[in-house]
Order: sequence, then C-alpha cells, then structure tokens
Amino acid sequence: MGLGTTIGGSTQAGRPAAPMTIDNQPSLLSTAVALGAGFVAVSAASLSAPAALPIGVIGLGFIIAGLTTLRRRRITIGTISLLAAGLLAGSKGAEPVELLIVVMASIFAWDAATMAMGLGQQIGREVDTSQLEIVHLAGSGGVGLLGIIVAYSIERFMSGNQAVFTISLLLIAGAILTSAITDRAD
Amino acid sequence: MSKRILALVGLMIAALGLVTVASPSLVPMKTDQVVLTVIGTGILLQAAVMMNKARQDSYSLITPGFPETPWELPTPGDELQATFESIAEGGLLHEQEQVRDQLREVTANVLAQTHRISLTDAKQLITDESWTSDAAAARYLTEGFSALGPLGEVTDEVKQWISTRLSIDRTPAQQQLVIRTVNAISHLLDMPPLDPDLMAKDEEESERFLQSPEELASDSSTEHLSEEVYLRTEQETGHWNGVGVVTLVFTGVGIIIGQSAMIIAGVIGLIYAGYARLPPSDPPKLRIDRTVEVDEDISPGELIPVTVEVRNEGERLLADLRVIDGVPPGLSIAEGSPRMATTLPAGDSKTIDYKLKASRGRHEFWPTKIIQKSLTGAHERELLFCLEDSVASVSHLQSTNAPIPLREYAAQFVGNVAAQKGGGMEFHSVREYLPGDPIGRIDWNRHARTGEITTIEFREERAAKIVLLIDTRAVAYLEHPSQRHRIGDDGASEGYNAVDRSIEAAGKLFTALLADGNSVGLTNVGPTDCWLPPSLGSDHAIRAARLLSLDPAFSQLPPSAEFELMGWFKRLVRRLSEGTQIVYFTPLSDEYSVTLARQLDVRRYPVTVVSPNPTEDEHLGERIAYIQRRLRITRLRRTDIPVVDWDWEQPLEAALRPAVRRHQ
Repeated sequence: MGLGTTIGGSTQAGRPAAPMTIDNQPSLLSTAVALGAGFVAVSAASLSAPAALPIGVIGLGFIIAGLTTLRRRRITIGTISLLAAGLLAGSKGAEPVELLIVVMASIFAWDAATMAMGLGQQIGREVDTSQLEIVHLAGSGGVGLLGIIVAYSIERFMSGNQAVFTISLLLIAGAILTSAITDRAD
Repeated sequence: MSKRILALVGLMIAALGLVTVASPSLVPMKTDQVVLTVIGTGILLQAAVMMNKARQDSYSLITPGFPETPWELPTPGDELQATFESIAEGGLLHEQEQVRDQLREVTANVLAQTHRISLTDAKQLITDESWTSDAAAARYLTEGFSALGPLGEVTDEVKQWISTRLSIDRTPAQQQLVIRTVNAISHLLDMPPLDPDLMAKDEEESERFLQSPEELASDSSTEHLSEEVYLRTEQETGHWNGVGVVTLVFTGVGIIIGQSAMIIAGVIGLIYAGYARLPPSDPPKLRIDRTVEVDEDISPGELIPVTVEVRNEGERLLADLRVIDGVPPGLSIAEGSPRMATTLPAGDSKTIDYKLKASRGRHEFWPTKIIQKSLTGAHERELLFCLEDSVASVSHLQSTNAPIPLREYAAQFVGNVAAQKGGGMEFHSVREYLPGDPIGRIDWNRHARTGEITTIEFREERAAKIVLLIDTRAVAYLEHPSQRHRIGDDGASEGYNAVDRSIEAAGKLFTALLADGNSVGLTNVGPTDCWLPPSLGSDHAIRAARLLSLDPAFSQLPPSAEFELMGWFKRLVRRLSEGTQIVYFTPLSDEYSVTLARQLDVRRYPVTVVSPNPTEDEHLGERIAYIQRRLRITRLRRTDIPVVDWDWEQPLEAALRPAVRRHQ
C-alpha cells in the first residue's frame, strides 16, 4: 500500500504525470497527543517507583518505533510496557489517582497512536485531518476521564474488604462479558 | 475458549458478585494469601487467553483508493522475468519447462536467421548441442535435460539455504543455467552478455485499489443501498481489541499483592471496553455532487477544476468521514488532492477542490469512495457513489517534414496525380458500396439495372489511397521500462505507451500524406471497430483527429474484450480497395503482427511498418523480448517490407530518415 515519499509529478502537454504517491506517514496531531499521553503515563508511574522510568521509556520508544515503521504491533507492545510501568508503580504503593492516570494515559496513547497510523494509511499527510482527530480524541479522552472519575469515586466511597471483593468480582465479570460480546464472528 | 463458555463464566462471576452485594456476610473476612494468589493467577491466565484471542482478531482497515497512482501497463518481457525470478524460490517444474521452451524457440529462430538455415536445421543444431561453445547452455536446451535430478535439487536447496543464512549472494543453479543460455544467444547476435548486477528488477508494486464502474456492477458482494450508492464493506476494525485485558491484569495482580488501588484501576479498562462496544449507527445519508468545469473538447495539457461537495442529509453528526474521489485512470492530478477526511454535522456540507491535467481521450470518472468510521474508531463502512462524469480531450494532429518510406512499386501513385487530366477523371472500376462512401459516387446506372448499390472508383482515387492501420490489441499496450519511474519528461515524445506512440506517429503521417494530396484513411487492429475510409480535405483531417483522440478504439487503456481475428481480417479486406497502401503501426510484440503484415502484402496491399520500440536489453526478460522483436523486424525486411524501427528515446523523424534511405 502507498509508497513512502511524495513525488510531485511535472508533466508536459498531454502526458500523465509520473507516479505521484501519497505521504503515508502518521498524522502529526495524533502522534503528538499519543507521545504526550505516554509521557504523562511515564511521569506518573515514576513518581512512586523510580524503576518504572526505564520501563516506561522503553514503552515510549516502542510506540515511536511503531509509528515510524508503520507497525501497529510495536505500538501495542509499547503500550503494554507503559502499563507494566504502572503495575510496578502500583505495587510500590502508588496513590490511587496516580495509578489511574497511568492506566488511562497509556490506553489513550495507544488509541491516539493507532488513529495516527490509520489516518496516514488511509488518507495521507497532505490532507488536513485535524478536525477529525480532535473529535475522536475528545471522545476517547473524555471516556478515559470519566473512567478516572468513576474509579476514584469507588475508591473514595467504598472501602473495606467486602466492597473490594465485590468490586473485583464485578470487574472481572465485566471484562469477560465484554470480551464475549463482540460482533466479530468466532 | 469459545464465546459461549466465556459468557457463561462471566455471568456466573457476575452473579456471585451480586450475591455478595445482597448479603455481605458471605464475604470471607480475611482470606488466606495462598488462596488469593491462586485466584489472582487464575485471573491472569484468563487475561493471557483473552490477549491471545485479541491478537488473532487482528486489526485491519478498509483499503482506501490511490487515484494518484497511474495505470500501469506491462513492460516487454515481464512474464518471462517473473517466471525467471520465481525459479530462484524453487519454482514449479512446469515453470522451469516454460522458460526452457521459450528459450529453445528463441534460439532456433535466431539460428535460422543468422545462419540463414531452415528452422528444422536450426532445431537439429540444438539437439546436437553444437550451436554454442558453452556446453552447459547447450545441454540445458536439449529435450532430455532433467535439471539436477532429485538428489541434485536437494543439494542445491541446501546450498541455497546455507548461502541465505550466511548472506552470500548465490544464484541458484537453475537460474545460472538460464543466464548462461541467454548470454549464449546474445553472443550469436553479437550482443554483450547480461550485466550480473541487473538480474532482478526491483519493482515497487503500487495499485490503485479503486473499483471501475464495470467492476462494481459485477461485484455481487456489494449491497445496493440506493440509486447511486453501494455499500461494499462493513467491518469491525479491531481498534480496541484487547483493552479488557488491562482490567483483568490489574485486578488480578491487585488481588495477589493485596493493593485495592490497583484492583480499582481495572475500572478504566472496563469503561474503555464498554465504549468500544457501543453499537454502530445506521448507514449515513449522504449526498454527493461533483462539478467538472470543462469546455467541449479541451486540449491536452489544460487544467480541469473539479469540485466535489459532500452533504450530510441525515440527522446525526458523522464523526469520521474519509472521502476519496474516483479520478479517471488516464488523468493526472495537477493541483490539490482528491481526498478529504473530516467530521460532518447534520445538514452541513464540505467540498473537495482539485485540478486534473487533461490528456488525449475520453475519460470517465470512477465511483467515489467514502470510508465512514464510528467515533470510537471501532467500526467502518465502505460506500461507493457512482456519479457519471466524463472528460473528453482532443489532441491536435502534428505533422512532419521527414520523408515517408512508402513502397516502391506503388510510388508512381503517391502524391498528386499529374498526367491523368484532360477531361475529367477516368472511370476505373466498381466495387461494393461501403458506409462512408460519398453518395455522389454511386453507380446509379447499375442500380437501375440490377438493384445493386456499388461505388465507382476513379483511377485517381485508387492510385492515391493509403490506409493507416494502428495495432490496438491488448498485447500492443506496452510501456518502456524507463517509463515506470520517470519523474521529469526528458523523452523525445509525448506518448507513454506503445499504442500512444503509434497514434502519435499515425497522426503525423496522416497530416503529411494528406497535405501531399493523397487520399488517406484510418483504421485499427483490435476488438473495437474504427474505420475512416480514405478521403481528402480539411474536414477529413478534423474527423481523423477526433477519432484518434476520442474513439474508444484508441483508448489509453487496453481493451478487455476478446479479439475475433478471422472476422476482423475479412472485414478489413472487404473495406480496402485494390492496391491500397498500408502503413501499419505496431510495436511488433507478438507473431501475429508479422503474420498480418505479410498477409496484407501478399494480397497486394503494399505494407510499410512503423514500429515504436518499447523493449530494452538490460534485464533478462527484457532482452529476450528485445531479441524476439529484432527477429521479427529482420523477417519482415527480408520479405521486402520496410520497417521503421523507432527507438523510444528518438523523435519520429530521426527514425524515418534512415528507413527511407535503407529502402531506396
């Protein structure tokens, strides 16, 4: 699909231009947002666990690599790395808010980077796609923030073993059920 | 784990959770660490399973279109080159046979021509292995040759495997034999051996990935939503696949190490998972209008502004709309871009503006492609809008001062007929009336007598008739290898494939011959019929120019219909009056082009061939094509049919002069 460089075609009368291809590099706006979110995740994780810093940076590196080489698998690995940094931070006793921020920012970065890559492949850099990106990122960003609020509220207003137990069960059930409900044929 | 089991497990756990809400006393006050670890690990295993499943449901996007990509035609020797390169990867046995058969045929023809012996004798030389000093090549072409034998093949594959691991560039044995054989053939023709650095062509494949209106009509998998709208694909992109795993991992680890903050962090993953699974909306209601600002029949090279307006006629905001306009394959984009990606509120409209550069011919727009995605990015639809628009552009015919090598024995009839004057024109003969003949020439006497409708030919007319015959069969649509990646235009000519060049040459010769007072006509070899009977006058020239530009027979794209050879030939002969001279424009890309020239010549229609040369002799496949074409030219010349061998980088005039000299 699409070749990497933009070659302008100059033509003489009547002759079709030479191969003019689209610049299929990921879109700038979403890439910036993805990297920013990743940076936030790494920072938040490092507050509680300095050891999380290198893991987080590696994660950022993978995301960048994925974007420059147009391999989505690398972006996913990078996100997993960021989340691992979060796990480390959580295990070292991070503040709930910090942990929530790490998780949300990691997932948001994953979404933004995927969006950037998809736009590059389907549309290319020459077209202005910023409005579209802002709307999409507002959606997923907003949902993430909602998640933080909900989680924080749960943290605040429910405590004690019993509540945690219940919540764990419900969360697990939820995760399993949502995985089972997909439109894709098995 | 299948979906059902998964759902069942999920429901059971949910039920358990709800039960503990109802009666908190069921919850154990303090749970053993071991138990917790076991449970946690179980959850993590489940996470691993889900992750694996997410990996298999891979992420995929609908392929957009690339209207910027020019229509690619084959270059000479493409097929042979591809077969040759596939031998390297252990090609199938029958492919290896194909290569050998082709080489054997070429060798026999080369031997027959260079040594002036019969084909049978030439084949004997091959069987005797005496045609070349290269013993390996000689053996390769014999009938009984069986490559390396099963043991040899295995050994060769092992060697190949080792060389690849060690990054040694080693051409497999089979390929080496082919190369040696081609070099041996080249030696027979005093050509240099192949350059070893140029064995493989690195061609970047770029496809347009757009659907032509015909393809769309015959595609049964598309759903016809309304009069001009087709729904081609609807799919989940897999954009959010795997996000639920985050919840399980954090909650599981949280349980094991007893951190409630971590357990609750799982909420984020769950909310995203829910977001991703919001049901998609109905197909959008869109209206698309395209405006192409073009006058009747503009000239090639002029810019054509195109405006495409997309309007959201539904009631909901469309969050993600990606539009790619169906630029006609023969036209190039001069300014702007035919793409747009935007959000479109209900009732709003947005436009795409771009400019195309006109080129010869009638060009139809293809369906506009729209990829509509949901806000979440999880769901995509591909819609195609068929708006019929077209652009027609007519090339003005140029002329040439160079001499044209028409045949010797008809030369007395070329040019203005001088001496036959003195009382009008002499009646010569009568032939069947053909559509296009002037009504004033109908023999009404004969009609009154016998009821037949026939056309009278006068000696003057007969004498000066020339018909230009252009090869427009699919095999003639070839590009020169340098054309593929050319950026600037440093070629001597405008035409970018062999048929284009033929048309350009025919245009020049038409004008020049007409100006000399000859009666000139135009027709083609191909499935689409085009026939302009020989005539005179400036109106005639205008008609010819329009045909050469706009008639579907002379399209920039190769024909897809079957070509019925016999029927076409009979019809041509019926149309031609006796002694008409033919100038035949063809790249000589197959044997039939030679056969046709000779069949016409034998029937006393003197033939001159003008042949644009799309072949090069650098890569292996190309070189064989180059050699085959040279053999054809020689064969024609030996039967006294003049051939203008027109090199790709030359202007036509440079090729005409030596041809005339050779002929005289």
